[in-house]
Amino acid sequence: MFEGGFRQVLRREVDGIPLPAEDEWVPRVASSGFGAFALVAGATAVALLLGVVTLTGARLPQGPAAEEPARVTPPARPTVIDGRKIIPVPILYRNTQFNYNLVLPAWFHESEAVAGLPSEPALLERKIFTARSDADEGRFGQVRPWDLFVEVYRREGRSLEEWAGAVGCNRSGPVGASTCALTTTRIRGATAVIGTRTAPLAGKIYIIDRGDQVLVLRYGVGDESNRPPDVTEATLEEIIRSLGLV
Amino acid sequence: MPQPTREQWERLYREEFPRIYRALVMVLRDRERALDALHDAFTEGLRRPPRDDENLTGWLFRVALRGGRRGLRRAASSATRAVAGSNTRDELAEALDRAEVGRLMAMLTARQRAMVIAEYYLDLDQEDIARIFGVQRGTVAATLAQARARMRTGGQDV
Repeated sequence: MFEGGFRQVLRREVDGIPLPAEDEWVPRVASSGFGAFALVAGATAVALLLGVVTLTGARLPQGPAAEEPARVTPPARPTVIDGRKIIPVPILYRNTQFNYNLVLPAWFHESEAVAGLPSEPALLERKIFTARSDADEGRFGQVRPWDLFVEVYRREGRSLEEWAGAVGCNRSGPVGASTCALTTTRIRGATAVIGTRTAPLAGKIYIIDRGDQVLVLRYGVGDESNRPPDVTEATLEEIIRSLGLV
Repeated sequence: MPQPTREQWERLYREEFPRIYRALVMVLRDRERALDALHDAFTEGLRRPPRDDENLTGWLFRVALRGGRRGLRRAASSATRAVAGSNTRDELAEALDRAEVGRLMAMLTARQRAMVIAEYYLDLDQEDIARIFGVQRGTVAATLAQARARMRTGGQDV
């Protein structure tokens, strides 16, 4: 029989197991892919700061010599060191106005090209997350392949399917062929419709029921010549999978 | 819980780390897998934090255990290989076997070990343990009874 009882002996012995050094407790690097979401502990604070600066346009305090600090664009990208891919710390983007969150790769930032069109009176907010540099962004207008659009619309009594059509999931092509297939699902407990579009720009559209609003996440994938480095369709899907609804 | 900031989540995670890590080492009998599994849980918590009504200890243990069972290993763990002395599974198992409790735990299945650790070390109640393993509470009670019976055959009154 254990002196003091099994629970006490177990605790004593388990509490004797040595711990890793504290700087090892938080994940640091990953072998591959954004999906691994590997974290560089030592760079956490720096990367978060970069994220905040990039997403909010906030300025870092600078010395007197730096009167006009440059915006940090784009942030750090994956780097291969000694054959191992180092993934920078992802950015947690929180939208407190419309109550959703996303985890973005560190090399994404919020585009400044967010204005709606006059033909979109129900649009409450549009955010565009991109991995492009400012100069590269200038090449594109409203059609921006490989960027993620996150939009909030007033519902206005329309169904999710109707919203899918309104934001680009057209069910018929010029010769009657279907160019966008719809499926109904649930995302984070909310009813959602997913449109998979094949033309004119292949991509996906997620329409999520938010009561008297709808949350839309959409992206298109263009040809390779327009694809920013370190962005694939899997990257965009990974961001969408990180969606949190508050 | 409400969506925590990274700092909030890291603080909560660090508070729980010692207990969960040690619990995982006992269950998985592998330090690298325990650490990798906790890293997975940290990342998962950033993406999908526990619900308001979830026991944080139980949530971390569940998510980490799920990752640990998949045997996820990352190249990143090279940085952890210097952690706390010897690191191979056999050496750790030998060290655990030298411990009184470790020897008894080695007699159990991984599932029995996990439930014993959850109840006796993490102080989770059987409802929480049932949620962690996705089983009925009665199954937890039966598994724990089997574990105790098996440990008794090892000569200890549990």
